[in-house]
Amino acid sequence: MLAQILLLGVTMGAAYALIAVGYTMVYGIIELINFAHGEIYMYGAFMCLALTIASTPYQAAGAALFAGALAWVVAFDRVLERSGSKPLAHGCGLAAALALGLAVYGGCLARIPFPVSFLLAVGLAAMLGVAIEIVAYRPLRDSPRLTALITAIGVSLVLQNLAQVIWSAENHTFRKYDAHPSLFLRQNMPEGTSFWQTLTEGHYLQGGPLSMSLLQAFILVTAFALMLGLHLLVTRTKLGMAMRACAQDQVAARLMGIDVNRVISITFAIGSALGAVAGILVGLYRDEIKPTMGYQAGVFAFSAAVLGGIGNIPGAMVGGLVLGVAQSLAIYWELSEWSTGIAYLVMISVIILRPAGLMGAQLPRKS
Amino acid sequence: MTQRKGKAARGSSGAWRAPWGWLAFVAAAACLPLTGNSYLLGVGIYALLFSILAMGLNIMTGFCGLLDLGYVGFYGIGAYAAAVVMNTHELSFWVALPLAAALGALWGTMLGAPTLRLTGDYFAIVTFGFSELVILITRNWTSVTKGARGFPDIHKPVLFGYEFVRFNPTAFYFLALALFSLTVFVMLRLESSRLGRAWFAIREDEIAAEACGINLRGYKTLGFAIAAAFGAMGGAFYASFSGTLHWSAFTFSESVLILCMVVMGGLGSIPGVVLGSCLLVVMQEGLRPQNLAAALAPLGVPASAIPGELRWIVYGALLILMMRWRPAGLWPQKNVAAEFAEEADTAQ
Repeated sequence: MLAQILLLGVTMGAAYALIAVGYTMVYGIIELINFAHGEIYMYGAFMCLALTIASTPYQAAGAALFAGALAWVVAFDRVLERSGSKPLAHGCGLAAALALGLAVYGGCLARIPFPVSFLLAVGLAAMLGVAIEIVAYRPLRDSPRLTALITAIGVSLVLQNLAQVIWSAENHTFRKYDAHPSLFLRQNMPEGTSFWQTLTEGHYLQGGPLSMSLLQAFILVTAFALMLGLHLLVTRTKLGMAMRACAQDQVAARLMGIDVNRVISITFAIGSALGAVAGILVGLYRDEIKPTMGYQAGVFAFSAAVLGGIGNIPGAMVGGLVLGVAQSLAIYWELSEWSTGIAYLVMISVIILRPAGLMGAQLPRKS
Repeated sequence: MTQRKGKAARGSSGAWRAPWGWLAFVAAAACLPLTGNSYLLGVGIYALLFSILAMGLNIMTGFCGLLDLGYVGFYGIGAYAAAVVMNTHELSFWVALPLAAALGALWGTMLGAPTLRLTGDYFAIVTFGFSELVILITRNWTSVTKGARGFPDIHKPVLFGYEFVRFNPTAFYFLALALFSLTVFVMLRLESSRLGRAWFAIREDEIAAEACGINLRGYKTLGFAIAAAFGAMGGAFYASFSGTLHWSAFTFSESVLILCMVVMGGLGSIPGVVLGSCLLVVMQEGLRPQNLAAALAPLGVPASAIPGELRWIVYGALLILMMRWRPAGLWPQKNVAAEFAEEADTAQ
């Protein structure tokens, strides 16, 4: 029983770690607590849901307008950077917005195979992260930090409530709707059996006292593969070196010929994509997707990032796992109504007692 | 630039003058019950209550420049403390009010002393976690707070044998106005005191302030305790006025709402903060789906087309837009405006 609950903790912890990495990367590079990161996690889940199930025309239009706006912002910024011509940038932005908006609208109405909608949703969430940085954070880069932090809260508020306007405040599940048949792993499953059921009830991997559903295995493998990939990216590639350089000293990085804006955009894109993957996986695992899901997950993940030492990527991974296991132990000891409090207690006590976190050697800069 | 800053600094620490503007405002506010409209009075009570809360938060975020994301935690502590003192221990409201404020100050000191030595971001996060813990405790400590179903039938204040009634809000309105006037008076005195000047110095430049002999941690903790005391006082009033308490009145979104008032009015500016609170409370009424539907019905907009979450989108957008284009607020404090102008100059 204990082993089983610990496995649950590790599964949730892997998801927290994926989200926490996004907080920690952004904090490392621009020293901002990106309050909107939890909303990106939520949008990832919703976009995947909207593309996989048959949406109502209203929801499809909402999702399409949203995606179009993102495409406009990102395309405008990239083209303006390259060409320096505003009319051209707006033209490209409009074209991109129309193309992506129509694609999303069609996809939402027609239902898309799950693997495709998964990748599309992750891409859209990455664009959301980049667009937030361009619109809200970049103009404030030289302002006092209080301004950027308040802006981040504003962004989170707008995004969360916009999701309620588009998808309503109720719980959504992949199971409840008429999802694309690709959600079913095997064609000969009885009618109405979902991906979720297939993965959680249909197949188990047995190992001693443990039994692991396929979905849990899927989450663990995906999360660990992505984190390993991120670690290699940051430590072994030229891009990773540029990211570390920007985190250390942006002026010096610029002098070395690094396009700092581009590196920051890529950081936001990677962090947001990982967050969206976590959102979709948790949405499948818990079988509930709702506009407020990003708030709590965001808090947990942020606690995990603080626990590991904010700005420290391996620290965020370890912090996520520790927090997930701690919460599952709270459930084991029948303290489940206090299990959310563990995140806050961990956060507060780590900040007070060891602000650098478990893995951090360097103290936060005093400013 | 330096000359302008020097002048502003002198202006804020000038000798005490009678605040004619404030007296006129309170006198005008005292005339509101003459309308006899109890809906209007209810809105007025909320505007005064949120002004008190926003002025309290303004000590931390406006005067000291530290973001407090869990201010509503103290509001909740004050509200539940007053409810427990009045109902469980059968004490009068006039005892519960100062007790709640003192408890708020105590918690402010206990939370502030270890955390205020950290950087601003970490402080913001600790306060946020604290307010979430307050909610969790009010929900689960059933023997004292009556748990997730809320605290029912809280006693009303009794003044010289007259019992305040919820359905006749005039008495509550004058109580709120009295507490509001007290808060404004304290804030004005704090602003022009040695303490206020120390806070402004900390906000402008911590290192310079420390070099001038200001005990950073001590002054910040004192500010946090005073802010918490006003939050808890507001909570005690709210407990008695609303008659029931539910944890959902103390969520993070309320903290953001109060922050929004401070930011919109002007960080550090007392008249600005009051203006921001009044504007947002009125806007909150206007953006209620049923009021909005009634207003837009003549234009042919169906009620079903009005989303219920509109007001939070508006608040979020307000935070973003204010920070981008008018970070010093609608009615800025002179030093803050000069500071932001200088930031803009150096940025260019």
